[in-house]
Amino acid sequence: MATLFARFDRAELGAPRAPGRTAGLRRPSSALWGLVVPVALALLWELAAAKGWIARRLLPPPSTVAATLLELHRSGELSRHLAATLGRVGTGFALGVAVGSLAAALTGTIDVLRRLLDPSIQALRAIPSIAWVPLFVLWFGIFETPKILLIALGAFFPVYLGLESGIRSVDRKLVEVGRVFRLGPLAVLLRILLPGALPSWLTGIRGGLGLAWMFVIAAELVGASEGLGYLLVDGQMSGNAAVILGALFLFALFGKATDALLVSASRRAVAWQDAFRSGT
Amino acid sequence: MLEIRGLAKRYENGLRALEGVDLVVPSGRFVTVIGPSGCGKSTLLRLLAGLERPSAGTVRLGGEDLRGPSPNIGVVFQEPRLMPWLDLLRNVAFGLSRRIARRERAAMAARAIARVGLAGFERALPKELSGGMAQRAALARALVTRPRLLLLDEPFSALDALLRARLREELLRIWAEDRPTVVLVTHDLDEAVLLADTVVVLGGRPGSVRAVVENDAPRPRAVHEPGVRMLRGRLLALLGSCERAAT
Ligand SMILES: Nc1ncnc2c1ncn2[C@@H]1O[C@H](COP(=O)(O)OP(=O)(O)OP(=O)(O)O)[C@@H](O)[C@H]1O
Ligand SMILES: [Mg+2]
Repeated sequence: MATLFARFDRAELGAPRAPGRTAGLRRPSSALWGLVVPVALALLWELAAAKGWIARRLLPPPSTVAATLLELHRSGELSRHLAATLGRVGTGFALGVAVGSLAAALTGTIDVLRRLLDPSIQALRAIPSIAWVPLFVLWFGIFETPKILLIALGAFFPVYLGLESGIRSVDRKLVEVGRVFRLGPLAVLLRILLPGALPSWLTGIRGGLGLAWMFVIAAELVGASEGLGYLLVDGQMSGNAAVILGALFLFALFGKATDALLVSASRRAVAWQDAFRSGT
Repeated sequence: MLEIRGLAKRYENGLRALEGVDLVVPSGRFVTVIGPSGCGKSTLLRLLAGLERPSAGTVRLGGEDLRGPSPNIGVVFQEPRLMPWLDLLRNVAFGLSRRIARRERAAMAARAIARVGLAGFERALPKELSGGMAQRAALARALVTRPRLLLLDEPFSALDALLRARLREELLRIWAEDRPTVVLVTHDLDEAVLLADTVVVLGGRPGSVRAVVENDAPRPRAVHEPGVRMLRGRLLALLGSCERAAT
């Protein structure tokens, strides 16, 4: 009985469950599969550079890129740039998720708000978010504020759309169960709509994270004195392809790592889903 | 006492589903409702559950007018309608007031789960339950609040015959213990006769009460008993005349 209660005490929304044993066994091997192609390409590339098949100045081999990154790391430059970019992505993404989720929760539960706001939000979505850059710079200057707002804006739309469509597709019959038990609008939102919309919401959040990474580059290309985007510009100005490639590599590394973190966190939250190949 | 007077339902699209339904059910009776498809059985149940507003007439439960869903009423739908993200214990506890302490809620839910024969599955997710188990869980969720009126809309119709018979027995046992008033919609005549103190025959479009048949056959009952078979035959004839009147 004690374990029964312990489980019951946990927060109701997306209570984590032990992941399936099969998933735990499959994961390392599938990760290895994913490494085969990049490693093979890197080796081939290294070989091509050594044999002089490609111009080292334009396409320096992985060893040169690694050496460049190491040098940047030794001088302390690298961690400064990384910290700047990660900080921007983190703040902007968090802001976008928060505002997007709040907006969707409001339009998803209050019908008047949905009819009032949803068309405008959908219309704003049609503007490619990069197009906001000049206006943001005009309004907020060239420092941190416009960058973070741009990233937040990029993350906002997928999160809003994911949660909004998730709420709309929650089974009406489940909502009716809430009516039978006389739940108020807030209880229906917290206990039926949000958990029911969770899979779609998480998909939106994942898309938002992808866009946050995209927009941090856009923001840093426009005017920054630090960050991975600045490294790109710097590499171009100084004609140093190794710096550019190193920055690209870091984008890939951190973009993939944060995405993988999110996916593994959400897999546990939606373990209740009864879907074909759920969680893959 | 459940009193239904002059009850009518006209849907927004203008369709008249029920008209002039009058029915008085003394407390603790087991009523089954039968009738041809589309005659408004589910509509009647939804009106009793407070999920639809009547266009005319009143429903009174224990002398009080019914306005919307009530804590005194438990509902079991044709589908289990469990929250897929909650385990069995939390699903069953779903309808308990948050003012009850957590531990008390868990204990109440665990008791209801044991009553429907699902003890040991408290932590199972709905996707891990069979159809029969899920419908039992839905019954437990409706029972956990100790309703005075229990409404069931073809609760066992998706299950195979054997399982249906077992769940009928369980429902009768629980009914004998708690003695709620029960209104159960079914399209299975055997089920209607085996369970009911009173069988209500709905018919026509818009639907109304065509016949109210008392069933005094002693319990426990079995399909092959003469009393049960005779009543079944009578109901079949009544249903036939409803169908003819409708066409
Ligand atoms: N929400 C609704 N809006 C409009 N018409 C409806 C609605 N629900 C039911 N109806 C109509 O009301 C009539 C009665 O429907 P109801 O579901 O109550 O029948 P039923 O007796 O339960 O049928 P069945 O035995 O097939 O379940 C039908 O003609 C149906 O089309
Ligand atoms: Mg029906």
